[in-house]
Amino acid sequence: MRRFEVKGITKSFGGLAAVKEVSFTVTPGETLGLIGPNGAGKTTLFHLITGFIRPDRGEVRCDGESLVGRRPSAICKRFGITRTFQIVRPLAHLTVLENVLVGALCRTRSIRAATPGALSALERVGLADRAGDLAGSLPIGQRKKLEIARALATRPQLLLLDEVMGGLHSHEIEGVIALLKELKQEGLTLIVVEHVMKAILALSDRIVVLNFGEKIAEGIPSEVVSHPEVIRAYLGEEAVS
Amino acid sequence: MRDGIILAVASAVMAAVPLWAGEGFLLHFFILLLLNVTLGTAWNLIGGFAGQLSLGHAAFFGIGAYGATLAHLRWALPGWQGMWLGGALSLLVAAVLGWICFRLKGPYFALATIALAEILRLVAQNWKEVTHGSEGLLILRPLFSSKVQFYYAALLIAFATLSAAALIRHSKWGYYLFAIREDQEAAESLGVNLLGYKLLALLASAFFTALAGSFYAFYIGFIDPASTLTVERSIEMALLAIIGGMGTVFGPAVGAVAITALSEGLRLWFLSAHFFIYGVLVVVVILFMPEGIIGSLGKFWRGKRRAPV
Amino acid sequence: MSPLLIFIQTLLSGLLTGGLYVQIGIGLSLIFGVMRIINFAHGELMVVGMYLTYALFVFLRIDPFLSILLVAPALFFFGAAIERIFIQPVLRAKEENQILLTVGLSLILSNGILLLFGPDYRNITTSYSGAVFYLGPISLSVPMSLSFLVTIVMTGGLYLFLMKSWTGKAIRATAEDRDAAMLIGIDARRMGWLAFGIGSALVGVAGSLLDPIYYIFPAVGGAFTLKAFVVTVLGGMGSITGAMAGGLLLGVAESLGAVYLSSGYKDAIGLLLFLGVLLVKPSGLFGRSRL
Repeated sequence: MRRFEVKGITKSFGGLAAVKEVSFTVTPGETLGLIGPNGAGKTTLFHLITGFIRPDRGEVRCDGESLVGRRPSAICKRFGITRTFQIVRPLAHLTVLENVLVGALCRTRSIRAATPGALSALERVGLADRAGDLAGSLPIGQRKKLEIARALATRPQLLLLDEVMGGLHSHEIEGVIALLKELKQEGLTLIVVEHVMKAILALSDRIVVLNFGEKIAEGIPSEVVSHPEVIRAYLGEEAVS
Repeated sequence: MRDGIILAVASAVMAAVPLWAGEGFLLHFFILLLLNVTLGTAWNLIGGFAGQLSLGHAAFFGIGAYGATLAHLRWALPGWQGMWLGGALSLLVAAVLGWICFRLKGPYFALATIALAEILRLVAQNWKEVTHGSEGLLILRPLFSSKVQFYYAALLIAFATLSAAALIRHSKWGYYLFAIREDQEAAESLGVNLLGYKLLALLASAFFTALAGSFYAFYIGFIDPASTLTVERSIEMALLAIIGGMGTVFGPAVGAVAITALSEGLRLWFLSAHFFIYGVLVVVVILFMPEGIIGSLGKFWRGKRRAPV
Repeated sequence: MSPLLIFIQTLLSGLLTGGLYVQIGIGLSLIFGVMRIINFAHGELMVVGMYLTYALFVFLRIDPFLSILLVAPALFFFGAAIERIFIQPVLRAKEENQILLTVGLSLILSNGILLLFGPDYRNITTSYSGAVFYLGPISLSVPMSLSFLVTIVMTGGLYLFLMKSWTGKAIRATAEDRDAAMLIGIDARRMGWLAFGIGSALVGVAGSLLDPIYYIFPAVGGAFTLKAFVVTVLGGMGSITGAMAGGLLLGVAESLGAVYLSSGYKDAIGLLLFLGVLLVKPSGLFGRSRL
């Protein structure tokens, strides 16, 4: 298991800081919740960690090795870090199974060897019966699940989930929470961005709160939700007094 | 597996063609058809599988044609050895081109391929001491005495290209190329090395295209910039795959049948303007059946199969 | 002539040619900026302008420079119609398919003209076709200089339009961020066909300007489509001011190359520049890319 660390990471777009001096660590097996209002920089942080964007300053380390400047593919393959996308990106003209196979092929050369892993990933998210359908034909809820299955198939050690419950019905949300709890028990390290508070509180060992690109709070869930800065960020000034 | 059977049956049928087609125009037609099968299938590796549109594949065709011819004429390399030279040269050029373009997002590859082909055309046009400019190069002693031998050489090359396409399609490489075509960022997040796999696809595509170019030079016995390195040549290669079905193993072969028949037929009535029809075909296919003949047939078939459920 | 004079002469005629390249490239860049589509039929739209001007000259004896007044609106509506009929349906399609569609259109246009007019090379001979005037020891072609003036007026007009008028600002806003523009009530689809119409009108007029000094034949467009690509990539795709600088740079580079390197490779110079820019600074030498 690997220890993962973000240190003083900063990224600006056209003079506007999207992420500013953010630091935190994730210990193996832990689930870290990442919350904050819209535009707080959560997705940008995911892009930075997984190599889609290069930070202006700061470090991302995995077991002491720097990830900065590496391609997302290398970060996935060598360090076992992968992510889902907030706006889902199914490989639309491939079947559901083929989508997940692409993920599974990260760990093997042969399609035959990759297939059982892909099928069991589909099984886990409850998409096994849609294996032969085109990914583009799935409704949004199932697309979100496909994102998870595909990422799981790469056999990650650290999985970053970007609002995988957004747009799901409440019974579907229960299913995803159960799945994530299971993954957690198996020892998978997770960073979860989610607007569904119930889910974040149920899953997270620790929570980091971002606002305007800066970390404003960090701690165990019960501490964080009562933190005045957090309440201010979410509800506005008057709520604090 | 299914692709292997189709390929074996089609090859067996094609191998029998010289038995009944004689040595005249009909055999010539089938040789052109096989050449187009090779060109379309090779283009499809990068354009269809990986979704990286090339509109300058004439560059690799020309490299093959000129490489093999010059090796033959100047260094008296025995025929088919020149082919490997053309192939190797095309690999080199493709590697440089791919390295420049595949690091970038956006439509740069399509533009750069055109630029490459045009630069090579200008070189072939102007480097008269070597290429004889627009006068072209003539191969006086043909490699084979009979057209039937040429036919089987064309069949062999087409078979090799199609086999490669089928193997790639069903390998990890093929899955990765399809993932790249669908969504580069999603592919990258799943561990797909974009630059590496796109580059490999381009290399394979360029190599088979160059082989076809070499074959063309030996078969026709004459090359000049206007027959090897024009934009029309590039577009025709893309068209084979587009009409037949981009990203399918046999789509370009189907496209080759359609286009070869069409162009030989149109030449009789239409002479120079058969590209007008090509233009109409492209627009119609893109607007109404973007998956080409094979894709549309497949959809129709799937639709039928699912209807009762 | 002294070496210095030759250099100045070459530079100036390069600038004049560059003016035409600006006129051609700016439309492509505008269309790309607003619609994110590379128009591979751009040079063919120029050829339509060329033949229209030619027909007006032959049948109605209208001077090429005067015919601009007809060619510009005609090409505007032609381009807008093409956008509405063919481009709109593929705006959300994959990039490959968008490119292929415009390639198909370019084949239809150039070969349509081939069917109508035949493959012959034609030209328009006006009283001033070969005329030159002198700035001290330097000679400049009269039609080229007139073209340059027209180019300045038109691109200057375009610039003012984009900067000052409401519609122009709406076009720029759409180019900057399509979704945001739509949120503030800009009709992005309208901006699309407007941009396509304007781009077509500009490149069509370039065709008129070329008529007195260049050969007119159906396949002439391809080479100019390439030039337009080079201009836009040099300037940064989607950047209007970048296209202006890129056009002039290409004209000068070609002119210098033809004199000091080799005239046969003149057309390769722009293409090599293009590959070089992709290698070292893909966002373009000037301005910033909107990609």
